[in-house]
Amino acid sequence: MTGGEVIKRLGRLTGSEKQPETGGAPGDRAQETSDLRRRIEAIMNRRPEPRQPQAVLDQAPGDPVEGVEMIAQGGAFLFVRREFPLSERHGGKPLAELLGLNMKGAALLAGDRRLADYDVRDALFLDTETTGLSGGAGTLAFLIGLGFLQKDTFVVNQLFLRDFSEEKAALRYLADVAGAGRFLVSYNGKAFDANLLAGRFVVNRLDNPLLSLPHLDLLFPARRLCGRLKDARLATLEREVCRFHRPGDLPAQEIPGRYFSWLRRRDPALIGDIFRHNLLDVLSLAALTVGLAGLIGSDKDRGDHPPGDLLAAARLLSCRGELKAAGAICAGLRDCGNRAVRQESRRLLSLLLKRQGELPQAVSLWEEMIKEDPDDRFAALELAKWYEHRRGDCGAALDLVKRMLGNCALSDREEAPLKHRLRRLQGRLERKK
Amino acid sequence: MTRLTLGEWLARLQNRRRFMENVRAWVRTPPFEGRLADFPPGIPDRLAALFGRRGITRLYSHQARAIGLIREGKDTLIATPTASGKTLCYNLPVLEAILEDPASRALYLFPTKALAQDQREEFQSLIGDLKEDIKSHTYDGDTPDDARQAIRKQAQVVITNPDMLHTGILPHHPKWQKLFSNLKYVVIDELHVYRGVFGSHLANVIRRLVRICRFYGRDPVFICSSATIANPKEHGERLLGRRVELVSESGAPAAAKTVILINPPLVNRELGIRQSPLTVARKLASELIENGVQTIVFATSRLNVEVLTRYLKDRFPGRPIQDRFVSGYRGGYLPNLRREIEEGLREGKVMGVVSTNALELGIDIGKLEASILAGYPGTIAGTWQQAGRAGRRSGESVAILIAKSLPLDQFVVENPDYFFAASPEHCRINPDNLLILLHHIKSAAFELPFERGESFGGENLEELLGYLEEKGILHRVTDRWHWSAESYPAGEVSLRSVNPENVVVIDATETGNPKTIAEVDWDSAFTAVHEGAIYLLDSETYHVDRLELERKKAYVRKVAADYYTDAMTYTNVRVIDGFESRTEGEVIVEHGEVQVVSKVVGYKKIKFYTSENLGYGEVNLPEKDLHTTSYWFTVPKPLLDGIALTRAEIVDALSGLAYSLHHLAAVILMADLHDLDRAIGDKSGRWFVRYDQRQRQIVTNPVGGGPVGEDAFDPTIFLFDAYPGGIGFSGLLYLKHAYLLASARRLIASCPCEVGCPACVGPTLEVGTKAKEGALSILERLDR
Repeated sequence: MTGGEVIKRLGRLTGSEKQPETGGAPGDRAQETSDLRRRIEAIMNRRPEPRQPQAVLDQAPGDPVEGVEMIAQGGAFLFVRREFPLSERHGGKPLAELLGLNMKGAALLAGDRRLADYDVRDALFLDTETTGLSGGAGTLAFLIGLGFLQKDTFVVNQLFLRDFSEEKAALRYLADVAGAGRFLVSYNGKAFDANLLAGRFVVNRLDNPLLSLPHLDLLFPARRLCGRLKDARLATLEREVCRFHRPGDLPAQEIPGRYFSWLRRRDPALIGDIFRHNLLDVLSLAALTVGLAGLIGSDKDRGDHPPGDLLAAARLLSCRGELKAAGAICAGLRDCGNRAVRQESRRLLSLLLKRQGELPQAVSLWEEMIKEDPDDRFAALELAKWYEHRRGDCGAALDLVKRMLGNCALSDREEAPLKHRLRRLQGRLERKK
Repeated sequence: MTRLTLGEWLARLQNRRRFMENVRAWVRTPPFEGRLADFPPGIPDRLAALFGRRGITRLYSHQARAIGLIREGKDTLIATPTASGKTLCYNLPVLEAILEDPASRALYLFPTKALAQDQREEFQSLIGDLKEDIKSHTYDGDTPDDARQAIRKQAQVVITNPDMLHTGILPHHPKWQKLFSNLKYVVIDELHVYRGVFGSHLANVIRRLVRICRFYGRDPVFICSSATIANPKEHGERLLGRRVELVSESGAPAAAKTVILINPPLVNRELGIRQSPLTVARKLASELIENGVQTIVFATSRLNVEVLTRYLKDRFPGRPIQDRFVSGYRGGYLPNLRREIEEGLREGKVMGVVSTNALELGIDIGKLEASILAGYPGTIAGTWQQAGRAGRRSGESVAILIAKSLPLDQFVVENPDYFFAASPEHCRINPDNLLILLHHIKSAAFELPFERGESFGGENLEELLGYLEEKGILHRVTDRWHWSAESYPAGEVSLRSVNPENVVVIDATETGNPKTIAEVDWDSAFTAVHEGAIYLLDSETYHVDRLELERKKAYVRKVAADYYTDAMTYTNVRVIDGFESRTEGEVIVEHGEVQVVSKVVGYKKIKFYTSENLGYGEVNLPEKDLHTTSYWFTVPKPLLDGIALTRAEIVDALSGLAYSLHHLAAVILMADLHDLDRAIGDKSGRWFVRYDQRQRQIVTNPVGGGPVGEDAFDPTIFLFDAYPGGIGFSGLLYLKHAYLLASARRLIASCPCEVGCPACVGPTLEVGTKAKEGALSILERLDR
């Protein structure tokens, strides 16, 4: 098959190419072009031309942002380092708060006890920008943002692939800094960033150092702690939790397209927004970690959290087995002005007390709840169970169940177990007689 | 009533004079004892013992040979008849490898999910017997998300289908590092299924698989199995892109089998119309089922499956319609229903099943005694596969082929010697079909960047990479081409049909309670669920109220219709590029690239049982566009001048000629009839034939448009590959032009009908009553 012939056939099959209008096979045209190119090159070569100086280390021409060319083993990539004094704020959060990151809280958020033994200076905040959002071997991370504390500054290093060929060097660099002793913090990184990088390490035949690091992925705890928000996107959380606003941010779905354009046109303007977007993501990640860890890990500093978040924190703590801490939060909310939160926190508290064997306290709480709201089915049911199983007072239990069934606003799902209980209690009372 | 055994029934049948008049062949093949061989030396004792416990103390000769080759590391293809123990040929070496090194991995490919499930159960029971912790899993669209990660890491045998390999595994190969880094065997079962477009795709998926394995430093051994086809070695080698060792001499014993070929009686000698094979099949199947002989009936279309199922259900009244004593079975049925029917067949609750070729493959439905083929399945290989459904293991069995009034069927039953001696078909693929190839180059680039000097397929790879680079899909850095688009290329094309979209059929009989009852593929949707069509499902009739192509939904309503519908299409061909051209007599014969535009314009209503034509309806659907390769020849106008027929009659004659050429081409190429299509027009696509109620005419526009002028009339008959880009038939037909025309002349001239029939020039309803005469006149003039 001669050159150009395959493409000609292809054009017809795909319908992308119309029939050649007049004369001249496409092959001729290709011939023409290359003739043209040869002639231009010949003319240019006759002139003694000062050779362009090799790109200097800092800011090679065409580099999208100010940075240095980092030469790692077997290759180079663009390296941008930003330092933020801890005196600065990210939205409403002073960066200095990072120093006080509650590691016990971080461990609870991650559900990984190992984290409690780490220091905040071991944290590596990771966020990547990628060539696609659907994953697969053909998607890579072209910008890797890494945040960490160093002396009195928060440093964000950004590793940028000016081209695909720079990936291996950047991954090697990442492997070096993500060595032992670190832990990762990300937002949805388990499913996305770290997952995607794992594939990239395989494709580049490198060992994946991230695999062995403890990983605090804030997405899961954020979903549980901030369920009141309309969604659990990082942008929503940074606004609501860190009071940080970023107008004019680049929508995530535009990022791959921008990078592909950059590869073709090398226009720095295309890429500056992506650096900014990534930088802010890393900063927000750090601030959010402090906020969420504080919410769950410390006994103080809870004053400014909305009661709903506190209740969510209590739930998460209870899931992680921190019954005392969860109970303490609930106790603080039992007289809260918000009715739903008040009711929910009392319920949770009563269950926590029950699990800890503090039955008398739980019972008085249920009685208090019924006193306040005679239709409180939760409290009535718990109390009925207690009468039946602990006190052996089937009569009192039966009264409670009858009262609940007398309430007409029961769904089928609520009613069936109650009726079952009713029959059982009646049976037991029969037998006693 | 005393029940007859199958043997007794056959004996009685032979005494029915009227029946035997229609029998063209009655062949009883004696049982074959089989040839046994010992397990090859070195097979671990516990494996031999494992099969020993299942009654396999020695192997069939072909199994021993195949296992020997596989253990030497040779890529091996086993092409032996149905139920000759092919599964053992790969399960044994795979188990041996895993027992020796538990890190070893194997990948099994089956054409359908149902087969994969079947095979997994079989493999699991072997493992259970071995009492070893070997993990085999199916991995397909039904695999739950939370199980996927564990399967990727732990499964030693991954059982999947080509589609999943294409879209779900290869594009995510880093996640499958464990599998690919330890892959020892790749098993591909039912290799003969992978022909045409599907096969051309699979060949490319294999290219990608081999490329990925190379990246992980592996060169797995391929083990393939196939039904008996004419060119197993060639097909296997083309599909795998490497040399294979062929094992084709079966040592498996075979039960006695009676094969009967029937040509139904002529019911209308003038029109050459024979009794419908469905009628004959219904009578025979009813008798067999009454006698307690479990029977499968193969029909050649989904429609016929439904019609026949309904007939048989009517025949066994008193059983509720939901009862599956007799059941249909075809592709559009939802999986649960299919599982239920398969189980019913195994347990003997379903005594009669009417199926399309969906049951031709190795789905385990147990032993059936009788197989009735209502119409020639289109290929000799397919015929033996379907016939093999009866008496797979032992005992007496019967297979009955009933011919339709179609040239292929007639040819087969009227030439039984040819049929019994003929080699089955060739499987043809064209892995370098540009569109298919390009698609997989994209997918491969997504999986790993291409390096300069790499090869992939038979075309100039660098030029294609350059093309994709120009389109901005690939990005080149020095000598590597990287994927540089956001899309996920493997998701863009389905391996099985050109358009991956399915249309779901929704039963909206009850308002407010719509139910999905079936799916039809995109191309079939145009003819099966257009507005006004009667859609048949498990012998219920549904009227299609609305077809929403954009949303891929067809809304139907249950009705009690006494008719079904048959869609009418028009086709228009335009030549884009001629590859070769020559003149034979005054006729210009050519082959090359064409653009085919087709459109469904209406439908006929046909009454159940009587096949009476009840009327017509119009359909308004978009055109479909196909670029493919074609063979064609042009008849110059002066040649037709001497024929004493009107313009419309000449068009009919050409239609009739095209009809017989199309059918004969399928025989000559040993291809499926549906791999080819035909059209009449002129080379420039300025006019084409419009079919309406009464006559055929050539017009310039399918909807309005008047007849074209006298001078524009140089008719051309096209036979084209029914796939985008072509599958390579047209070049062969170009070479066989003279033979093709001579065969057509013999067929038409020797046909006993008076004015044309479906066995020569097509039904008179479609081509009128002058087509036979006209076609012969044209052929005579072409021969001068």
